[in-house]
Amino acid sequence: MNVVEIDLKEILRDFFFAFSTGADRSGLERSVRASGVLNPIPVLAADGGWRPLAGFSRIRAAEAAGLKTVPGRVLSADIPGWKHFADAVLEQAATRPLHLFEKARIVDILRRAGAPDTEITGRCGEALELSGSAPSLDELAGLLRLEPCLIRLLERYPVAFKQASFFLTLDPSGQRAAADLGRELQLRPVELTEIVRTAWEIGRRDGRPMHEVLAGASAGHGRQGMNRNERIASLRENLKRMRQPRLMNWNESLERARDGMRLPGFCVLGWDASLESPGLRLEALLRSESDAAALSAGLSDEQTRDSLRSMFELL
Amino acid sequence: MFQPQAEIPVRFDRIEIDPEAVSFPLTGRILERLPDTPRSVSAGETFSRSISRLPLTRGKRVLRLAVGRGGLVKPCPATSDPYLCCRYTVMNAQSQCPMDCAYCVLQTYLDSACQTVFVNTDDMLAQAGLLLDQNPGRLFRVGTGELADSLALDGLTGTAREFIEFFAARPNALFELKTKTVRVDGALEAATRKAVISWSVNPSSVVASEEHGSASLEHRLVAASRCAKAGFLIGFHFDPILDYPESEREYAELTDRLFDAVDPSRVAWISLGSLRYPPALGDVIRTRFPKSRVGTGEMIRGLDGKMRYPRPLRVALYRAVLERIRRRSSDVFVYFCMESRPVWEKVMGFAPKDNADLDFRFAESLARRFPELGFPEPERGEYKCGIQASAFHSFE
Repeated sequence: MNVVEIDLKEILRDFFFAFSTGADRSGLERSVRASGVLNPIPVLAADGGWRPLAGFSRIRAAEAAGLKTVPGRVLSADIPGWKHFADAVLEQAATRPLHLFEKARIVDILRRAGAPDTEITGRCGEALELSGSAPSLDELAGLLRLEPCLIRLLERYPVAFKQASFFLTLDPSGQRAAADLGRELQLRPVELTEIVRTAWEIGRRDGRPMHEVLAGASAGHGRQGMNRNERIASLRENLKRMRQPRLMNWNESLERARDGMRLPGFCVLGWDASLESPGLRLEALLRSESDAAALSAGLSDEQTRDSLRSMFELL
Repeated sequence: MFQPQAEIPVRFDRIEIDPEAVSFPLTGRILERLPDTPRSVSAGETFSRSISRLPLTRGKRVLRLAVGRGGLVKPCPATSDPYLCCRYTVMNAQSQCPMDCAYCVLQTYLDSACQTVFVNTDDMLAQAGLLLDQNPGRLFRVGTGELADSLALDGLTGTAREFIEFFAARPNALFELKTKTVRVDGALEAATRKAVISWSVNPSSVVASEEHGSASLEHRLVAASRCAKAGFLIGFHFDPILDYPESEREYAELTDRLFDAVDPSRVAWISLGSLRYPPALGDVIRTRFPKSRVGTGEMIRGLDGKMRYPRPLRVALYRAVLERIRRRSSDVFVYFCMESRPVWEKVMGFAPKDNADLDFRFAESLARRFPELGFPEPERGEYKCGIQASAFHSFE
């Protein structure tokens, strides 16, 4: 193994092979300050300097610690750079799960470095979890078309391809609006996707930009002094009302009809809120004959029967 | 001024032929009609691997000629309880469709994106024949429009005529070709008129925005009129009915236009089915057709797991169409595709007891309304029991 001491100034700053999401480096910096960089950084000779294939955090930590040099493991120039990089990826994948956006960057880097898709799939398929119903290389790399602010937000959490790829259906301003909302309400990707998707569908239906729909659904939140959870709940409720106005109206009219009934307090009347299952569910715990009589009287009451009639029209 | 939407001509980037399909006459006929299209013989597995990742838009431009294995004649996959189904029989002569309707369930239903023609038509007709022979007491409605458009490729395959003539010779079958095209020339060459040629219909605004590559409504109605005048029975499928601000008015107008084009007495059946789809299709629509309004309406998850409009909304849509149909014809057979008994009751005033009852009602209507077809008055008992068939297992 050819390990040499490398001047940090000779390290190429393009960080071509960097794919990491940028984890917290404070521990690493402390360690480097105390003991220096112990693990040599794999490098390729390029453009009169050294191009690292991994160890970017160590390089930054070394700079922060004021070091002038770091140990470098010089890789053979006879082997294409992308093959060395693929090996570095496999090493990383063996020690920790790769984030979706890291996988996207790895595919993008490998392609830009000249790796054929068959080699990417063959060498890194397992590390990138490309088998079965996983996204294709194009789909994975395509995630990098998302707005950087949205990628930064989504990278904070574990995120599934299906959730992340949804945002590609939004235009850049929609993506930025989604990122703003996610940051403001500290939404996890699953919550953010659900909320933004609903807003986007309302916009698609009504011919309005998604950010306008979101703004409309969030109107008044600041004035009302709501906390985060209340704001999220209110946003969801408003979007639901905008998305399914008739369904909500039907349910509200059913609730009004139920409230007008003269049923004893021990009865609970319910229905399927989607209105798909027919009929009403009546639950009653009868503890005595008088309970039975009260239930019978309640059901025979004229006002109750009128209410039931109107409810059955919908149910 | 309204410009009729032209149907997209069927062109393929390449033809892939399964080795065992090479010697079939239909393969030769298709290749002859596409002399300039590159073709190659590829083993099924190799081919499957090469196209497994092909996106739909590109896959639809690949024509695969294959030998269909297993059951080519099957009960319609339908849906699960409590939604009623009509016990239709499907003959899978092709799979995939060169058109590109935003709402099409085939986008997620089929494994392969490419247009596949099963060239062993003798096998499928033999299976159908067996099914019909084993169940002489009941009428089968058989169609090829389930996994494909029945006529989209008929200019290449020319099978419509063969299929019509085969089923017309059977005393207990009525064959249906279901299409969104105007490619009826092959069917019109058949030596018989005992068949139903059907069109899926939607208002022109929906055709233009959602049914990409299909024939315009105007063209479909001209073709329907032509077939009716030639003596065929006609079917219309209002499926999927979409909900949008102008929908009730536009569907009512559409109904009038159908009956202006085709006399109701020549309409064998009309189906009504509102938009429904498996949830996974929603993502596909959003990705492939971001401007589509399909799925943006009020949808709920139905009891079969499919997304649907809420029941009161479906009832309102159906009532608007049915009311208009009944203004023009009191006895044309109207049925729902995959609807629940409460919806039947609210819209029609009755509900079939079960799928067998609905199947029987079809037979009864056809025997009564079209005596020239020669179907005897059906016996209810024949429809209550399961179907005897080696071709497929129980129909229930």
